[in-house]
Amino acid sequence: MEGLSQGEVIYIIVLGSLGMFLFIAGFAVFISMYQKRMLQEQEKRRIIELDYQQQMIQSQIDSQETERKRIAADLHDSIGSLLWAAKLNIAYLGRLSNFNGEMKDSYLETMKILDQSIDSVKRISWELTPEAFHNTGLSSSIMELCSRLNGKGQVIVFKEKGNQLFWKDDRALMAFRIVQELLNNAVKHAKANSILVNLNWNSNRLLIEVQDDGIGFTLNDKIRNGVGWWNIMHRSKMIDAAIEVKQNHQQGSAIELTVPLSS
Amino acid sequence: MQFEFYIAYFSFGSIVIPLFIAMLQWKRMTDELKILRTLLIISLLSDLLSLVLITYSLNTYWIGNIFMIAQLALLIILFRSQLQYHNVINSILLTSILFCLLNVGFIQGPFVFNSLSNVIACLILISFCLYYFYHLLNDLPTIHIQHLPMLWISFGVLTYYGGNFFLFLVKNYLTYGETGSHKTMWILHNLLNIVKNILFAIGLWKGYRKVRSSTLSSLAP
Amino acid sequence: MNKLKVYIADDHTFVRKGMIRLLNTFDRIGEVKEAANGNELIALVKKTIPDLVVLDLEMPEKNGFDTSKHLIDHYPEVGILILTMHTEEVFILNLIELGVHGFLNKSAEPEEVERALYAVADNDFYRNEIVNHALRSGVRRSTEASSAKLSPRELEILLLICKELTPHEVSTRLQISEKTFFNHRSNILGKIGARGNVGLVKYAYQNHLLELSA
Repeated sequence: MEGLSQGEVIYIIVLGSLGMFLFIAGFAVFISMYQKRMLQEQEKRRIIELDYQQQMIQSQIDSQETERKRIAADLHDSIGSLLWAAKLNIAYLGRLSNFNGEMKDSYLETMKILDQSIDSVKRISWELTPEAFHNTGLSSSIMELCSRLNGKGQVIVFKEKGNQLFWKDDRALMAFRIVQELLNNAVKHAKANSILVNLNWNSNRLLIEVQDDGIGFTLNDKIRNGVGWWNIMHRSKMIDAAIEVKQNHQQGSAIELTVPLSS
Repeated sequence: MQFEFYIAYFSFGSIVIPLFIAMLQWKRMTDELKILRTLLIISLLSDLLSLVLITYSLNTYWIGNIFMIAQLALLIILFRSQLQYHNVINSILLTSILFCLLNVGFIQGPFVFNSLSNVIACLILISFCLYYFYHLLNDLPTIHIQHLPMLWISFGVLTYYGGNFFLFLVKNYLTYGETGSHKTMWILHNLLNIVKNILFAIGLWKGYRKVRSSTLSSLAP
Repeated sequence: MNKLKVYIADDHTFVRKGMIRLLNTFDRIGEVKEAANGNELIALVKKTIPDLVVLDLEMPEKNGFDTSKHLIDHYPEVGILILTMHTEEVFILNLIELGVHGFLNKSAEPEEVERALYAVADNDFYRNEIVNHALRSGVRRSTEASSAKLSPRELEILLLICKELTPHEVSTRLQISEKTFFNHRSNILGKIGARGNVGLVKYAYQNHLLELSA
């Protein structure tokens, strides 16, 4: 068997490397195709996961809302009525016998205690669920909320500008819940003396500003009041609202919520 | 010694690389790697037998023909372990093996190169490779596909059989002068065999690394 | 004067018992009967028509709203006093629209209960802070002004009714017979589409005939 000529060797090398190059290129294309599809798939999965998370939050908030409704109704209809029955009986006793002295004081105090208890029941159940929200709308309900919180050691001023919309659907209730949470934070944690709630109605969005002169909130506050902030954040997200902390220091804080009116 | 013999010996010896890696992980091996290991051992034995026969100047084609059938069967079984539709694959396996046996026994006979069987094996295995790739793209079984042993093994199969098929098709146009024709084919075939064995080695190495890292992680507290 | 026959409907037994005890201490209250829900109450009314019913809003089977509706449709002469925890304006406004005669909070003083019962019996309506509050917000919200045209005499009578004068007092003041008064009254009701005195007051507020000073 005779040896290969130099031309043949070159021919083989060129042919072989060309073939190898083709194969390697093909394999590289395959791997990059695979990687691309993998990324797409991961992105899809991420979106599904996000959707799922959003659904979980949604159902959590929904169940929170129904639970509040249930507790409010129970408070009203059972404890409220029972307290009222107690008051009726005490009143009956008061009318039958002429109390005097210490007994009279006790009678009057008992009446007062019952009155206050009934008021508390009403207040708490309203705060849990403003029952008539879907009839009265956002503006009236926030106004009502402000007047209810007023005079507990702080002054709450409610202002409204622009074309007030009679906004009363579920998104409005979300917005109301956010304001309620913000006000609760201001009253309970910021030790504010005066709070300003400002509603500014634009054609396609509503600006809600809550300002206070309290001590502001820190990260610790957020942790301590985790559920409150959880609610604020997720509810804002659910109505596509942007929440912005405009000011937060020792002299007070200002939080602005921008709610698009048509989703 | 001439160039083509270096290539031939290296081709012959290249089987040692994947076999060595297979030895490293002899006991802890996934099923598909065990199939591959069997194939490598048979390959080594048939090569050795051929070498012995060549020294006595006897016909070696019958070894190559029988080995070809065994290789086809084992590779189909290997792909079957990765794919669904086992019934379809089994019938392909049976039909093709039957045909090759008929061929080696009655049609082309054992003492000439069974080109017909070779073409059929090429077509079947190329199809399996392509289908397997398609299957991977749809299934997306792992994030980093380059760490999948089966990927490298099928690259090897595709290179070897794809190249072989290509050589078969263009055999008559590839010749570098009349005399070189046969040798050119032989050398190119040997080159393909080397590449295949290297790719098999990479696949086995990937499997080895996988087993080792999972053993290590299971040892970790 | 005949003693008033009063029926009480409330789903809480304690509330009913307490109310009966309290009502029995009032001078002008005669027989008092109780019902646990709207259907029971309607069954009672079917047997003997009372002067007054005191209704809770939240009741099983038939709630206060539906019961009021039924009573107003079938027994317009029965005075309906709603006794409730729910004093949200919208509920009150809806009930006023329906023709209910008065509202009491479930925290009212016994004296107010007595006053309310007599006012409904005598004047056909009882006006208190709950009604005023609801009407005020109702005015704030309603934009449509009624186009009904009342004669000067009718307007006069309307205003007197709003001032919580009894039919007798009105007819004496205007020197007309009580029968004429009732004719006028039904004319006014027809013109403004109201179903009772509370509806008249609401109309007066909405058309700014009356300022909400109370």
